[in-house]
Amino acid sequence: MEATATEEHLTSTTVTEVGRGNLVWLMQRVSAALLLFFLGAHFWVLHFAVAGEKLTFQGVAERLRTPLFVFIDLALVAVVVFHGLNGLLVVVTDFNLSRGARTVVVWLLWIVGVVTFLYGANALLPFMGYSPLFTR
Amino acid sequence: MYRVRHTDLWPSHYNLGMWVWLAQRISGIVLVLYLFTHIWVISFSIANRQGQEFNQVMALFQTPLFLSLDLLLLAGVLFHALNGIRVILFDLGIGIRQQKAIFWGVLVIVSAIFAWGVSLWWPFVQGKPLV
Amino acid sequence: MQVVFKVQRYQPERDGQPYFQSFPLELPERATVLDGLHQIKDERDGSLSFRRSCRSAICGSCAMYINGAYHLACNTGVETLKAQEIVVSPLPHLRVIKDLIVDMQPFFEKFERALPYLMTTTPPPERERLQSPEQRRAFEEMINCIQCAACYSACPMVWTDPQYLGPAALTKVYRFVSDSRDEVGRQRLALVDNDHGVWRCHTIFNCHIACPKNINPTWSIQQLKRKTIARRLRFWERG
Repeated sequence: MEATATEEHLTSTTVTEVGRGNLVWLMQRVSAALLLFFLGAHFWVLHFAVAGEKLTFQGVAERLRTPLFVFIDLALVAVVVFHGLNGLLVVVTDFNLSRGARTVVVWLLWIVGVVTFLYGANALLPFMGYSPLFTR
Repeated sequence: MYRVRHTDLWPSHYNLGMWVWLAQRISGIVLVLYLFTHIWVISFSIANRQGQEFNQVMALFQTPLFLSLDLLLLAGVLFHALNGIRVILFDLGIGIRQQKAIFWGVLVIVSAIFAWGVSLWWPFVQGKPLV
Repeated sequence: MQVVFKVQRYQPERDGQPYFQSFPLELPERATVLDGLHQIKDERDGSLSFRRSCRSAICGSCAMYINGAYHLACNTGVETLKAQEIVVSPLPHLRVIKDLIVDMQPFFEKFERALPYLMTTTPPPERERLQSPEQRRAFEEMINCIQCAACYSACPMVWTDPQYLGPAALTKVYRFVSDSRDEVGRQRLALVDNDHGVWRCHTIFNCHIACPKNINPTWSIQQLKRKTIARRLRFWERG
């Protein structure tokens, strides 16, 4: 037995769609893959490659003279903040928020994320010989 | 309305995948909390360009208490990362039917890298860095 | 073989709470859990209620939670449980109607939402729509589903999201998406591309452990996720 597909069939869903979920899911995987590289580099450079060396301002400043490391550190902050907050969104989604509440959460997470990124980026400036744009 | 005590909610009845999922969630949330503390602490320690404050904070983090917390962090990050790779493999359609075996593989790799980390960490605790 | 059946009882008009009632039984060597329940109903307490129909693991009526695991009562040998005490509860997390009978309404509503029938857009051919044995094998595993709801009862995402389609319905969606005769695969993918569809699955694998027919719903859901993303990314084909 077969049914001929009709518009009615294919739209007959009673789901209240809060978020689509596909972009959140995909970006969590993409940022995870990037993190494996950036966080791996972070751990390697700061801990594994320099076993026993004390972490000092001067040491970090030395390393950040290479633009590549500035890029890696900035990218790390951006990707890790995104991955963490996007992960929180996945957790929050499992608590069945309404569409409005979810929108509020998404905006809050973006604000927290951008502010955190700016804090992280600002913290790199003194190592590169500049004054931080803001302190405390 | 009645309330049933669902015996399937007893942890002894959880299957491996359930434990792993819970561990991934909990480690993820803990790592987010750590991440914000981390960025916050570093940002607050850079008030001057000579870095005395930064060096003070770093010296504090190389005391035994914080060094032992570092091991927890390493274990958490390694588990979350390696299990994340396991999840991504499933998303690519690889090893879905071998989920348990792949988890034990993850645990072996986590333990190996962790052991390596501990061997690099131990000189710090002894106060005689290798270099 | 002497065993004690500890059966969860609940009669809404009479009992405030479900409770367990013990029945010491003398059962033949190869008896199943369903045989034990029948002995109780026939000889000890005729008011004990449970669903069963085919007694040969094909109708999906008698899925229960037995000694900490999901089983069909009809094909689970009491012996194989290797226990003196057999604890029988209805499927967890579903509303209990009476004793071991649970409300299957939400499960079947979601099943219906998955449009579990072949759909075509082209006019039917002279004879049947042909399919090669290889094309048929693509959904060999999924068609073994007997809609017993064990996976549905075992899924933590079903417990927490009343709208989540659940493992059985999503497996059925994949069964038709992978059927070479079905012609609305892309629309089927659109139906599951939301927070109550495939994206709710976090690969916990409880459904696979629970399935008495050894189907792996997680595998099907993972295929759906990939196909859904591929459909999204091929925007020039979407129309």
